[in-house]
Amino acid sequence: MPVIVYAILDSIQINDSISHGFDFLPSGSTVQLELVPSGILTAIVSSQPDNKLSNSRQEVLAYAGIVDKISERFSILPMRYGSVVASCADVTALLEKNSESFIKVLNQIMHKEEYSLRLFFSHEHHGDVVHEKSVDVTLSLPDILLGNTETKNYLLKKYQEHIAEEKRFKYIEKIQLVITQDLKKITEIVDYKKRATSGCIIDAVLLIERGAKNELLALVAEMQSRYPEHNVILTGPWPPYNFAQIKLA
Amino acid sequence: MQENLYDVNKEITILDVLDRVLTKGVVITGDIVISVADIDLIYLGLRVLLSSVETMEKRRAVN
Amino acid sequence: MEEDKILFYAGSANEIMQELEKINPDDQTRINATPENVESGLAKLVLTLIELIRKLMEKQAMRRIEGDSLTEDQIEHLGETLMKLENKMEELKKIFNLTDKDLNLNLGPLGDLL
Repeated sequence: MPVIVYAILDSIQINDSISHGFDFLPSGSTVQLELVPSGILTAIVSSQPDNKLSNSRQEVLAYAGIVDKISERFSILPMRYGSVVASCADVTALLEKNSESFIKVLNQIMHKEEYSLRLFFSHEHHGDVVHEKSVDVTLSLPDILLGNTETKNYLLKKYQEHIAEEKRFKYIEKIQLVITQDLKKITEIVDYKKRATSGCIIDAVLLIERGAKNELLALVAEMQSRYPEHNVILTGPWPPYNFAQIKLA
Repeated sequence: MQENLYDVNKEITILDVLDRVLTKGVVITGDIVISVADIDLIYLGLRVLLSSVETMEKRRAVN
Repeated sequence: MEEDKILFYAGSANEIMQELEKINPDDQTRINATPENVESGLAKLVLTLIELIRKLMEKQAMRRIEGDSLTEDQIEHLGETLMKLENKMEELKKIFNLTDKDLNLNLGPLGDLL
């Protein structure tokens, strides 16, 4: 029977607490979790009889909720939604075949939690950084663009946009440097995503020790007071999704 | 107003959850299903039933 | 997911939400060819690539201007070409009913294309 896999962890964690059973599921959940052990690794699964996953947002969130609950209790490698495997025997084979990479990553995330840290330009202040000094942009315009023809005016506009953008990138780099230093006090495991939008200065995921949440909060509050003109947002703790991006063959 | 704020907070959390559970985490890519116009044409192995390609499909439906 | 996971934030929640939605865009990016949408799907793919190249050209042109290495004639020529290119792009977008947002493929860890 096909099963949906929620998480992979080392069997030792399970053995230590197996007597407690799976009493940690979200209330009202009808999901029956099962353990599929394979040597030093264990997968947590539930059966998926019709092997068709629902598309609904609710289903996905319910799945994420279960992974979350498991993660509260154990250090796990969370699976991406959609990880349906044909049978428990196949899960076992999967664990066996990939045990090396699983264990490597498990060691990295052991006793740690993931957080998302983002820094946004607030709409109110966004202009300050980019346009405030546009006066000196005009001053340093290349002579070749002065002349007030249609083409030159067009290029001038493009050039000013280009300068503003470069300025924003520099500004972002500067902040990133400071924040990287800050975060080093807590963790070395930080992944900065490439800024995908113009409003986003920092989009980072980090992995910290389970006990270090308050330190992180203090750091973030400090960060916010240093950059009152931007908005800091911190979410978590999450299962280490961003640090368990293993592709299995 | 208060309730509205709560909803937005929850919505922010949900966005973050969906991003994680649909695009991050351990992926099983052992098998590939290539489909055209939603008709699956080519299966490469059948042990693992779903792949990240299908996850993308789900993701679209979720949104 | 019952509880919310926001530990800290400043600014308006609505604003943050808008930004988050931009970071985690819905799956506009998948090109799924069906008889109904094969045309716009392909147009989207092709226009996205053209737009990428156009933006790169624009960026490169600005660098050249910055470097102050262009003659008067070259500047005129360059400006006119870029202008026409941009106008053409706008036309094409209208024809295929695409917006800028449609022309931005998310490349996962690489961020957005444009």
